[in-house]
Amino acid sequence: MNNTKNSISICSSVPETTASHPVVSPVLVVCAAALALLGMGRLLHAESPCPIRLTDVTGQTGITFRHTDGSSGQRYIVESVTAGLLLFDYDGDNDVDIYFINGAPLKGMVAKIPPANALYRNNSDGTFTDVTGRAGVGDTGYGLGVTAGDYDNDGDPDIYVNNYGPNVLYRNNADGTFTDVTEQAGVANGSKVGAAVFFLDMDKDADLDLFVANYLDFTYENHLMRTEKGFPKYAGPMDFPPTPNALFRNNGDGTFTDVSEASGVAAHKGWGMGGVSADYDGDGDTDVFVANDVSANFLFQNDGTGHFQEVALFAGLAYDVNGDEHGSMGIDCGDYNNDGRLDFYETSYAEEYATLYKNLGDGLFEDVTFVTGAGAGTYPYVTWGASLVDLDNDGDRDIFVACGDLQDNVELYNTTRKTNPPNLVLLHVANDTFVDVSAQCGDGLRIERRSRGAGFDDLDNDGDVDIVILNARSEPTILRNDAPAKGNWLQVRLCGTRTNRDGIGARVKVTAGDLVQWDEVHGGRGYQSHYGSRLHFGLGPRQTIDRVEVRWIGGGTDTYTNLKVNQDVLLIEGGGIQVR
Amino acid sequence: MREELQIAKALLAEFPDEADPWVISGNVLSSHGDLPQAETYWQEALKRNPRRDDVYSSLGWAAMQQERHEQAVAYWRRTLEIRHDCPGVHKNIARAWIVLGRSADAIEELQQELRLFPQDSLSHFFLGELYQQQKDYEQAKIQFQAAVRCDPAFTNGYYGLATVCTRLGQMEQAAGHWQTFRTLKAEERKNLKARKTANPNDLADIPLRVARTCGHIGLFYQNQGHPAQAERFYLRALELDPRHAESLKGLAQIYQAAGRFSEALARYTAASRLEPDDAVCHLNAGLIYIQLQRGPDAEAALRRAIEADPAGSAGYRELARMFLRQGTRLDEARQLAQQAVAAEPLAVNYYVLGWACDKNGDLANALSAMRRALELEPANEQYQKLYLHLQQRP
Repeated sequence: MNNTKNSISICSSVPETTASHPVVSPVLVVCAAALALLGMGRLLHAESPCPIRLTDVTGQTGITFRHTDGSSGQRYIVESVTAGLLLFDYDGDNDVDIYFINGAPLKGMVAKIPPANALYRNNSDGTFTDVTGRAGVGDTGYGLGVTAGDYDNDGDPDIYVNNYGPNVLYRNNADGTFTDVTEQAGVANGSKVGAAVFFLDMDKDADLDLFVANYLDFTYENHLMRTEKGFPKYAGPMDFPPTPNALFRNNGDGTFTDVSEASGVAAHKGWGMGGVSADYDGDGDTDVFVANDVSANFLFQNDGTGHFQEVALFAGLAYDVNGDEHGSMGIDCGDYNNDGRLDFYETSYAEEYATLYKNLGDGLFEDVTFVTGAGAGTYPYVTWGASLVDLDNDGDRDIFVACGDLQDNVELYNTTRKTNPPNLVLLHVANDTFVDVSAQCGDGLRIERRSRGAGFDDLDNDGDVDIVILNARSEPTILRNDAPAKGNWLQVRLCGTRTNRDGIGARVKVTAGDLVQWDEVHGGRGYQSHYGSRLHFGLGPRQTIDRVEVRWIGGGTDTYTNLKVNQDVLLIEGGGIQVR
Repeated sequence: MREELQIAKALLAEFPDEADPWVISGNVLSSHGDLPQAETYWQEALKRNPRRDDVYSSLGWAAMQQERHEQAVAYWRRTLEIRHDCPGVHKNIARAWIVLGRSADAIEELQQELRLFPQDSLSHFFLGELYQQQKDYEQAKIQFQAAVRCDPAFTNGYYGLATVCTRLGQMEQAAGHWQTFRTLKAEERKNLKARKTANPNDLADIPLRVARTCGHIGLFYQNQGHPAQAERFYLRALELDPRHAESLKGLAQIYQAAGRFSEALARYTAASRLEPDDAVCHLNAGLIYIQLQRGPDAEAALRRAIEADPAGSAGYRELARMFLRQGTRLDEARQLAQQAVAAEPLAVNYYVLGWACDKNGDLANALSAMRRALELEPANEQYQKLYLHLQQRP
């Protein structure tokens, strides 16, 4: 006992005394900030020029789309999480077009012209034309997630939009127009708050089934707003009940059957956000990884027939290295260390690190964020769309992360965060580690917005991957890849003949001398988006490609040998090849 | 919130050369979410008192929060220079090394932390993670086991154990640990949900935070010898948060010192209701009851002080002293004095023991105790006087 004078101790938001148990208090925002393992300080040497250069060309593209979240100051939670985007070649002219998802007026907002999703056709000259009206894809529902896939195997990609409200399936008419076939297909999915969506051939019957993630059970009646330090802010997902995801089996006749219960998917309720469909265990069928907000992620392991078991905990993908849940946002996958296994990159809430999960084989993953530096720079920001993508064509995957706070006023109560932060680029360097080069790779990384979904593909067909970012309440950002001394490359599109037409789920192995790379065609990925149907392989200085092997989902394997570098090829199931 | 900033600013204007006002202002800015600005104030505090290990510690966290890991390590090194056994600092440094990819350094720091605090479950846990990362699964398992031994409800410890057992192919053990992890995690989630539902916004927290700042300012004035100003801030704190125990205690001390015993007692009683394990409150209440010659109340309060802190000596000593002054229960007084000496061999405790032995007719032990008291405090005139008196006893 001491009856003497006390000293005044520090009682700040980062008190040493309350910071001793980070891993057990992830939910107390102030404490969590002090608790998590923080930051990565690897730097690119000043004398090393950055091999990645991204130029903001938004103003030159003719794109006038502007996203709305339908807000009017009420802070409905759905406003904070919209929306994704789609990069795909809807008209088969061999260039990548863009479909932006838009919000819609929520209660209290009046719009003279209803906001709508927007389709921009690539003019192949660096510009785009708004063809929404002509194409008939200007859905005015409240959009969140989107994907594309040739569900009717007629040779062109169709669109599925996951809304707050009834969803929409647009069938591609192959003449530049689409038809809303939602009702006849039976895939409206009620009137839920949507999230990511994936086309996948879950039962290897050569047609694409549909996995529809749902966020939460929001209504105007159960809406609430929270405050932080007295300032209004959006409520969190735990303020609303979680919901199960949905799964629709393709009947092969233009209709689908809801198999959510029978497949085992509906047994698990979560707060679904982004995700990716991928064969994580390499067993020849497509599994589904769903990022859940503030709760354990879901990894639905496919038994090959369309029955799923949720195995994220045992696989090491439910939580971070400490066993703590994240406010998970988006997920991309790619083989970052070229070991033949698909790894996952998960974006997350502020004061958490975006996380890299390394695939160890045998269905197990390890969080290698800190040892690889893959979370560098992400800690202060809410992170959304992201990709493991080779931005300098050197044969390994870099990381791009789209950032933007969930709140629209965060600086009022936390000056270490930014409502409109810049995006991030992490360069893959030696020993499978990453360095933050965001400040060194061009003006494209100086743009500050509330970014959400992001897509990655070669918009100008010049052999490198460009980037499209959807920004909440703002115009999008188009970043042209102007890598100063990029390596050689190969782009691969697939055309199934016996398996699904888009080759979704097929796995491609490219061997060029000492460099062996793998990738897979996904049917939805990142943050509620889809991109990358055309696989891109950076090859560095290698001049020839020895082999390309394609393992078709539910089909055989085709092998192609001695391909030239720097070309875009269409590989047709059965061994055919077309140079585009 | 404006009030909080204003009073911090006013204090700073009045005492610009003292460290505490800068610390308080930094705290206010930090709690308002302006960490960079808070750092500048804490730096100013260090210019005025460079021995503030707590300030270095918070600067370390602030640096970590803003991804300046090496600077965080430097701050925490300064903390250790001032207070080498400060809990958690080696562990914090280890965290910084982990994110900088310096696993070997992190392991070394965690081992140092564990040498100081072998029961620290989180240090064992981090060590387990580092070994796991190095594929040394056996060592990792040992550390995770230690983590849950130190804290059997440590959810994350079971996550580590389950993961490492899976890697070792010990699937049966892994299944058990997964199950424990899931049970504990479900409980955590339930509690979290309840907390979130109970408090949909933080407006209710603002007065509590302002009260805390007022309490700190009150304490500063009290330490500076300005009881009137201290009283003003303590009262404001209690107006904002009637459950602010530190302000109740501060106010009680001021009233006690001023002889306003009934007011002091009311505050100590209120503080004790909030913090029944605070022995100082019970002790001070007991001393006031003695002053007021309310023996039974004093005895009850002092016994509560002993119960709250059985390893401390003051409760035993003051109760013994009361009995000696009353000239009653002298044998019990001697036993209490002996317990006080056993708890803490302080000069004052030996003095009371000498007194008690004398009152019980044990001159030899009384002399012995007083010799010990004087060895510890040779200049104490009261002890000298009693010792002389005892020596002169036939």
